[in-house]
Amino acid sequence: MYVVLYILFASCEDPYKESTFKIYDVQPISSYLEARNGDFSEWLKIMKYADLYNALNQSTQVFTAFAPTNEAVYRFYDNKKINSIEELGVDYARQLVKYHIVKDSVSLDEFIVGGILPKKTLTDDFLEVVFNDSDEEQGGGYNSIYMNGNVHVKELAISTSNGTIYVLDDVMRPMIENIYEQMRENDLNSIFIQAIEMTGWKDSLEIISYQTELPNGQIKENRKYFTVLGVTDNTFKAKGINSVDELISMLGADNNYTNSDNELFRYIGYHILKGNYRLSSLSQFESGKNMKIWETACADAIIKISLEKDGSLCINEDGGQYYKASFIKENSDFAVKNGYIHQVDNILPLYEALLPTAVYFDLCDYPEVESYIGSYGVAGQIYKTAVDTEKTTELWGTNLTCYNAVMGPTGSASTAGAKIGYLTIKNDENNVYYPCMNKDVMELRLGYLGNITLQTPPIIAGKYKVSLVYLYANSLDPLSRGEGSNGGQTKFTFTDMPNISPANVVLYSERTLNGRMNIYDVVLYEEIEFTKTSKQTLNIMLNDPAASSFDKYQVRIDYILFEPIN
Amino acid sequence: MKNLLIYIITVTSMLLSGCSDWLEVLPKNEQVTPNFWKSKEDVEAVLGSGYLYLRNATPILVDWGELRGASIYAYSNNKKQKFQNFQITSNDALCSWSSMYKIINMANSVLSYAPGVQNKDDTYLKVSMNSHLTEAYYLRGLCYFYLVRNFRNVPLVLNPYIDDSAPFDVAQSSEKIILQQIKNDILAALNTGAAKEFFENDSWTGATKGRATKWALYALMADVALWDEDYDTCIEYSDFLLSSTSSRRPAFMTSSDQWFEIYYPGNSNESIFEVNWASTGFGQTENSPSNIFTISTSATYQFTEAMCERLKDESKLLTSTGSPSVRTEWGAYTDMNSSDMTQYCIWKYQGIGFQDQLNVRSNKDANWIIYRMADIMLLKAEALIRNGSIGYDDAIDIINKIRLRSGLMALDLTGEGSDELTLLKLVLNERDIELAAEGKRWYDLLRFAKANNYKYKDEFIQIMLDNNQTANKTWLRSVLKNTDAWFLPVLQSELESNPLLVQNPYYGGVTNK
Repeated sequence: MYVVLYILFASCEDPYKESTFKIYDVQPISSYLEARNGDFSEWLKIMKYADLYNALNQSTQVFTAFAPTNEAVYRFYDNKKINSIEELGVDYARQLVKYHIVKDSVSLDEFIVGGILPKKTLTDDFLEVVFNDSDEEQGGGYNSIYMNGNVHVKELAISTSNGTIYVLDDVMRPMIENIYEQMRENDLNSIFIQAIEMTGWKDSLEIISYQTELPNGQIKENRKYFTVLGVTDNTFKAKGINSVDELISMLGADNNYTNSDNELFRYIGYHILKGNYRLSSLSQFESGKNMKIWETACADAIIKISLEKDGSLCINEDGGQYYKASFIKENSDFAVKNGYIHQVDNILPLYEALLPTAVYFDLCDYPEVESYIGSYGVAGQIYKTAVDTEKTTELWGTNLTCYNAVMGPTGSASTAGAKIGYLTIKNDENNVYYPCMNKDVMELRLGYLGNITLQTPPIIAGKYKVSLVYLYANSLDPLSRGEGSNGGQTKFTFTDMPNISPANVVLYSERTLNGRMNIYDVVLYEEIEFTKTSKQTLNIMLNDPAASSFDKYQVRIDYILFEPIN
Repeated sequence: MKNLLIYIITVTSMLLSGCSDWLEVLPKNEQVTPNFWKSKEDVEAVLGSGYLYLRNATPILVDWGELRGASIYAYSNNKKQKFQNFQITSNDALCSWSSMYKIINMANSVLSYAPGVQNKDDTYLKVSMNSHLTEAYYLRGLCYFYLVRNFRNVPLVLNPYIDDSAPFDVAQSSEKIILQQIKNDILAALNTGAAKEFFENDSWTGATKGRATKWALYALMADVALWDEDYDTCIEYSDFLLSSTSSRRPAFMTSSDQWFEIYYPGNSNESIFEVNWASTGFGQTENSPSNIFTISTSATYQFTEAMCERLKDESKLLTSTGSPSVRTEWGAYTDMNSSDMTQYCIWKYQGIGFQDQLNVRSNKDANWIIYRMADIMLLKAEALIRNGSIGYDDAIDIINKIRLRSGLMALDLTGEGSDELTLLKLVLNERDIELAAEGKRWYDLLRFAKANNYKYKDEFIQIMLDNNQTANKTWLRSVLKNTDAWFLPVLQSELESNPLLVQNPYYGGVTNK
């Protein structure tokens, strides 16, 4: 017996003794970073100081962590003129780390789709993935992916047991500061920031969010965004302006700086766009176009941004050397809590002689809608972004000031559909609606004679042809249902122009394809003249009785096009 | 690599018995070890396995040669779409080189052991043995050529893996060394004097096109030389084919009536080498182009919108005969959509004749053509253009021959006043249309882009931007700036098994598992 046992044990020596085994993906995020202490020791210190180290080791949660290298953290400290995270305090550190965490997995496949990540950070901010296509030597593709346009992603999609890590060559700047705070501290804009303070624009540029009360009494918190076209001290000085007084003098402003007619007030307002626009967003033009009109915070004053032949973006190119400006790329795309700051290379005074240009009026293109969708859009919906499925958010009853809608007296036959729907289309190039501009559509189910009033973007004075681009599918055909339909009659009225007859067009019984499946267009006005550069008030009324009798009746609008004539 | 080698040994050990026909030949139930090699039939069995594996590898050759070229795109299949969008990572099976090394191992086995069989089998004549060696050299060279065009640097393995005594860990060799090895193999094959002009096989009428002949060796050399920017050699070997007077030579078929014979019944006079399938008698249809390029609105492979436009343009061009070009509807493509949306599927592997849409192949067993005369002619035209203006007129003549055969008018163009870029684009376009869905497009574009120290890199990127309809344009522009990204990553499992392998630097930061 002993002999047998001896033989058994003696002969059963582990053949893999002395071998080492590699076990993958067993560490959670913090432990993984700890294992690469040589790369991430500084970021780990910040995580621990922020008391978020253990949070990222939870096995029951899934995260995506953006981990800056030690060199990135040192550079961040240098920029902040500090030596350690403690100098910024725990609150800042927590915001900083939370800004680097998405509480969900972001796979490599999702990541390299590019654009805004579909999942927000723990600070409730969106991150944007940008591909750089500049002429870096053997950069490009996986090697030229940047977070928010300027933070290089060094390693992609490291799998851990509780999520994914992306390694960064820089620290992403947490959106803790607002526009005013950031410009006050950036050592670039002392003249410009004094003007912001004197005119009272400071109060606007400090707003992060605002509250609205819904009909049911619920209070909703909405984010507010601006995009500022800053002018640096160096730019002012190059034009002979060395102080805010000299700027006031140049503009000919009186000393009632907070008055909306004051030239300094208007000048600063002219440098503020309502909304959250990176340079890449400002570079988006409609198919075949290379310029776009943008509304500014200055009443009835607009800027024109165009793409030049050399690939640069130009503001007010029509205005010649004095009026036009370009973006200073290295000092642009600075993300802050309530928007973006870009610096321009000229003083950019108001220019009011812009030539008429085409305006694509996306009926959902309002900063208010953007912030509402960002905060309260249905799960997974991203403003102006196609995601995995079609998504619709109801805007009726949300007190958005950009829309004034009235339900028709006989109501809508639809019980389930949104009355004013913000619809983003499915991210599938084979989807018939995929070509939609901005990947979004406005749906109206307001019943017969129901209507909505809204303002167009500023339109430069001149003559235009006006067309409606809309969506339709046979399943929505009101005629086939015998519901007393007149073929989808819809009335468009410029309410500030009583001398202009409303355009009463039929959308469904007569359709002209827009060159794209299920997308049609119809001319509202062959020629209409706007005598003054300004926004126009437009009323859209559902003028088909079927809007109240056919449960699927709806009007789906992609955009309204204003094309200059001559 | 180690995984691969273990796999090769295992597979080699497990090869099952089969019919002795060349279309279905496999070593019998024995290991391909030194003890296996006893007779001529054993050599033929292993050689036949090389061809069999080439047939099995056809799907990946389609993906490698077409999807990134953006004349054809994957309508469905997420992995293929990532591949065509240049978003592949080292964990994707599409960057596995194992299918090529399986063939290489078969070729290496023949090259190593066939000479010894002569001592054991008196009926195995030296001329037969040399002939087998030429085929093995061809298969090895062809596979390395696919590898070098897709991975650039790959392990150069010239000995068979039959047991653990072979080194598992082999480092990559440079593109230059691999290309030189391919050329050496072709020359070694030709120097035996045993490369055949034709094969006689009563049970397989396509043997002359389905096995490697002298003509296939010439074609491979012309192709390799062009890739290697050795234009004189490309022209020289093209001319061995084009100027041959042998009654057994492959011949460019000048009549547009014959164009569809290239695909049906296949193994045409124009063919030089094609991978054969035979449904009748052998039941071979799996992996045939007929089953890869299917016809439906949801077919995996379809022509891209840009290619559809080119095919539409081809339809509008004036023809010399008054009939439409054969490279149009019910020739090259079939339009799946009757509405205003264009959706073209690949037709050439489904039909039995131009505009004979009422009759389709009864058997889905179209061959995969590796080389045919129109291909070689256009390779020569490209080399002539690259060699300078003196060859421009001859290049235009070649392009015109291809156009006239398809039914089109000749180009209104002469060499004088033409420039290199214009003519190269004409060749590129002619190859695109003539060789559509024949696995050539991506390599044509790469040659165009990389030659002469990436002289036309920007033009290449613009072509890609104009043609690829599924990738984000900014991403595409960004990724294509990096010339390393034009080549595939080494499979992660290979890297983990073989410490001598070095990952393509472009994929260094992608650690997705």
